[in-house]
Amino acid sequence: MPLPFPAADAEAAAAAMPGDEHRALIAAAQAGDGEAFARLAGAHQALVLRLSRGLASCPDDAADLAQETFTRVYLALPRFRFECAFSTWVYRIATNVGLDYLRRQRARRWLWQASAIEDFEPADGRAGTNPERQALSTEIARRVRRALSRLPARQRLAFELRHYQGLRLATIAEVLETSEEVAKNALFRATRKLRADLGDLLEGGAR
Amino acid sequence: MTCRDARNALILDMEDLLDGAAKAALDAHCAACAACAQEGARLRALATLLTEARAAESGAPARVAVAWRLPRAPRPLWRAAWTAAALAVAVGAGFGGGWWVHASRAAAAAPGQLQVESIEASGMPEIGVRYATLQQASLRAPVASLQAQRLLLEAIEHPANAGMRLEAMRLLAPLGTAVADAPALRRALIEALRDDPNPGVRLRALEGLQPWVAQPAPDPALVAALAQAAGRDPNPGVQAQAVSVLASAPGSAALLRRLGDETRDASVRWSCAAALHQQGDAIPADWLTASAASGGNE
Repeated sequence: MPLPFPAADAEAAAAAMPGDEHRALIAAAQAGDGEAFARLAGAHQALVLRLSRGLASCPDDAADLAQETFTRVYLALPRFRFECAFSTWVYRIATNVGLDYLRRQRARRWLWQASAIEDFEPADGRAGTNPERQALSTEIARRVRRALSRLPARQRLAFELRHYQGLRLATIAEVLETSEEVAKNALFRATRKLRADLGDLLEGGAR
Repeated sequence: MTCRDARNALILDMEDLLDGAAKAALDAHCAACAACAQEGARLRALATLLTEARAAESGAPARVAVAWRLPRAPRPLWRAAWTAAALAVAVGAGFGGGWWVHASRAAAAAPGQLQVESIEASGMPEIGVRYATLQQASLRAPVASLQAQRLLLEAIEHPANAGMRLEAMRLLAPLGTAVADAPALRRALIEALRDDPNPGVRLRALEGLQPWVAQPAPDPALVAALAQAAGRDPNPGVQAQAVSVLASAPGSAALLRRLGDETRDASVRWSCAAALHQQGDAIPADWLTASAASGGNE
């Protein structure tokens, strides 16, 4: 079954630079070259932002997550040992930032404001000019976000990395620092929960 | 391949996680089984739904401009840390500024509305403080409005204020299945019944769950939560009420008999007996014997 992945494969995009050049850039950034770090960050910002935006409950939080990820990348860069792809390492940091965030959010859920939910709803007529259709689209997007937010943090991340970031199972396992079997199980459980939670939207096999 | 195996395989197939042989076996099964084929179609629709919903939220891929204010020469880590923290990520398509933009906006909030999360002082005299803000907002709207219902659903899970949880349930429960996000209300009530420390809230949750119990095919999670409350809730009033609510579920007689058999609490057994009697079912003779032998107090 073909997957509805984003057109740009995140891994491929991050690894678009030739190997030697990429390695030299990392080494230069590790030596304190700010320009090199800026280029490196620029090459990975799309994947970090997409993941942050998928996990955050409002745009401000997404920007904070992305910024925290790059701050941690910068601080941890001297410890990068080329033992995995740089993009996998960045994903791992972004995932840890995301895990902290999801756990914090769960603990403070009562602090959320209705406005934060509204922030992510399309308000510019992307669903078309038909108000009923737009309202339906908004409601579906809200239901999907709510269903995703109910997943346990690691299942949520596994699903984000697979469905929305298009990562291979082996890479997801590497990012989550677990085995492929455990990552696959997390994906299975997440998908099954989403199926149960959103089942009423799927009657007849199509909306 | 059984249908059960096929359903599991279909879930893995949705995320393209089946190897060739498993995929071939699944395809062969679905070719011969209309129900599994239909489930496959639903899962494909789910994959599309999940992708389209995210696209509807995100719009076009964010155009990103990063302004890195980094040192050109290596600097001691204690200084580099906070230079890095001051990186500003400016993102198009809906994102606001970075942390410092957020922080400066928050700094205008009244004292008492901030929650400091961490302090970093290794780069003295410059320090970094990370904090969250709570913005206050209010809403006046009919309880039938979507926004009011969303807020009430949040209030049902308020961790510190049982009165607020009760009030939110009091307002939402009469709407029952007519609430805009009825499954969310049902789940919140089930969670309250299972986990809320306040017996008044658990009783109110039971009351709110009544419309879902009486449906022709009630949610198994709901029935399980009711059975658990009936058998194990620390409050006898909640237990008795849970038995009473459970009794209104279609086909609950078998469950009531099992509950009565397994419980060590005579009052729960009596509640089950009363519910069975009300349904016109016979009360197992050994329940009467057990209660008589224990003097009705086990």
